[in-house]
Amino acid sequence: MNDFNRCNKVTGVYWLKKDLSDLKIKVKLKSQDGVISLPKFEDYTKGSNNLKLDNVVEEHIFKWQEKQFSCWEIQRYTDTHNCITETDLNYHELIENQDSTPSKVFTYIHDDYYLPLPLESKKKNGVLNLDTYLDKLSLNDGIGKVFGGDTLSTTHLFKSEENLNVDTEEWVAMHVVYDNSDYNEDSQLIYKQEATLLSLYHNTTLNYLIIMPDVNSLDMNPYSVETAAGVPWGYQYAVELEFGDQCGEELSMLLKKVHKRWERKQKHLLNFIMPPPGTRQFYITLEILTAKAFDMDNLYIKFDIKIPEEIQCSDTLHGRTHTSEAVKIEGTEEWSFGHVIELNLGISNGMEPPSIKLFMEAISSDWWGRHRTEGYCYLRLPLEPGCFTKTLSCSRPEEVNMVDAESRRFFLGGCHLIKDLEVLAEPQLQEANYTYTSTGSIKVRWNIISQTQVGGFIAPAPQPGTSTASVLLLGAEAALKKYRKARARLAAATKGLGDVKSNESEADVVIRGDDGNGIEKED
Amino acid sequence: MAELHILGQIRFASEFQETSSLFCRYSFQSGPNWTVVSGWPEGQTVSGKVDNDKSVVWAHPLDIHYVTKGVQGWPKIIFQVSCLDSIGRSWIVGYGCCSLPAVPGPHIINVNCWVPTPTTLTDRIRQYFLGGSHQLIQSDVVNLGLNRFKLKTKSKGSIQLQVTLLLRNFSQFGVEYK
Repeated sequence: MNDFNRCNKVTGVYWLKKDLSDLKIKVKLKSQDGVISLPKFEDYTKGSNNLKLDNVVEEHIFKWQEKQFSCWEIQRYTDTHNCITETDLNYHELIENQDSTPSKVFTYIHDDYYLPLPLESKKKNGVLNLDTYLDKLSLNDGIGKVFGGDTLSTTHLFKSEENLNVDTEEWVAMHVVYDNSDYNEDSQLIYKQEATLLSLYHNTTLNYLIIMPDVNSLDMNPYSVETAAGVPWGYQYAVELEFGDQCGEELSMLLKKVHKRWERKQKHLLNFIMPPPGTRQFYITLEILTAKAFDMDNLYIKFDIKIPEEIQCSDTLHGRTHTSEAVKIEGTEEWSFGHVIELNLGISNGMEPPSIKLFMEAISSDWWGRHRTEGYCYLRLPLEPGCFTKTLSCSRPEEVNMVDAESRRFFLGGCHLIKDLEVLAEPQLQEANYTYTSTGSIKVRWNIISQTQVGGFIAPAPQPGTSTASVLLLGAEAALKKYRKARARLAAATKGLGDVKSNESEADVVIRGDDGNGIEKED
Repeated sequence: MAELHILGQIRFASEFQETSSLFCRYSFQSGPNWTVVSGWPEGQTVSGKVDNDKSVVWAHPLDIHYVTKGVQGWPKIIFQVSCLDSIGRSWIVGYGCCSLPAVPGPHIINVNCWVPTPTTLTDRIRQYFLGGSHQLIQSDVVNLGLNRFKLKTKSKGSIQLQVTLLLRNFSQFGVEYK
């Protein structure tokens, strides 16, 4: 911990928004808890019997480039004979006029030139460094011999603006110092001993401030006052910086504005689309996946969805898949469809959701254009959220006279054998005294999600500004997309024709011109 | 905003009749309420030779993060399987589409593929001897069921997809999915 405390001084860099005239540097100093802080024996014998272990925190506030004199400085500058430079004379006048009191914590300002500036540790610019490295590698020798001269002077031509800035960097320094010197009774200096508490360097070119050590807390990580050799003097201190209130106000205003904008944006985003009040919405994705083991090839599936009256639905409820040619997998013929049907259903909240009915008819077609019903199947689809897969067995009605039926089917074909598909759902209600032949099977998968209004959330009001704009944009985008596609198709179609097309088009013009009325006819 | 994470992989394709290498392009399609926050909703697998079991292993990873402000337009994945022959020619040998389940957890989905058949005898002969295939100009036909009845297709093999779904905040908005 001691080691940490000794090494906890880090440098801080502050980029300044404005000049440093409002800067306030606060240095809090307190004596360290320990043997040194105990009262001396003399104090104890002279004064009261109470032990005083007060840890009074001294606070010193300085402005930027504010001169605070130490005891020996006052001694020195009071006498005019000691004042040689102009700065010394200024200090003499200052002491005479303002009656300055000596302080344990005092400052050296830029005019004093006592302590080094970061200017001395300035890096050489990159171009020169590169040259020195190249010299070290002695790669330059051969070229130097060939051209017979040093090319170092030309490197200045390649200096960037950034490098030039480095040369002209200017620094203004200020140091806050603790005075631990020994004085005699007449305040004459016997032994000078000082410790730098804080160094501030302001880069006037790029307007930033380097502070060494950085701002800290007296309770959490106090710095100890110590000599350059690291011998502690029994004091701890903390540093604070105040850059003026206006900066903070500006920042808070900016933050408020940003927060408002963010809230506005989030509000729009947080509007989750909810069903209208009092209704429960069902989103159904039904997939007709495959068909298996039917008699004839080139199969397609015609589907019909029947929805009870109490359910509202605006989607298309019937249709058919594409025609598919079979593929043989492990000796079984299989037809792939991957047909997706999407339904959006709405029912009243209080109701138990009724099932919907799905009727499917597998139809085959041949090269002569004859369509034959291969089988029917029916699925009762309960509106229950989840993901389900089912293989439905198909069957078709069979006529009594087998020979007639088969020959008709073979020569003429025939589909839509059942007029009212409800017979599949409720065969007992219909007069259905014919037999069925089982044929193949159809695999389906469906996925149901339901959504209701939740207490806290209310359906968002339509936002005129944003929604219409987005709709417009979407429309425009779609139109643009279609236009691009059409253009690409046109380009692709005309590309292959080349010269032949150009000859043809000439002929076309001639034919079109035959009209005589100057009106072109279009096919 | 509700969130959906799709993690998994396109595992393999099987039962395709082609002898050349196969690769696959995939694309996630979703409604206007859905926004991809991270991950690539489109991509292409490596091309692989068909093995003795008539399958091509791709093991292509998927990792997509969606945010949504509505349930409508639940994401779907569209596949376009192509073959690459020994002289570097490639053509499409299968289209497929599947809707992603809304139930969180692991899922194994088989996506059956199909391809438009040649319409004329000349095309058939050309495709038999020279290769090549018919392609869809509007790929929307694959994921939308409408206007598909005009298509004459040939069934192809299937792609196996393994996905794990993570759903977040959906129940806050009254969405019930299982």
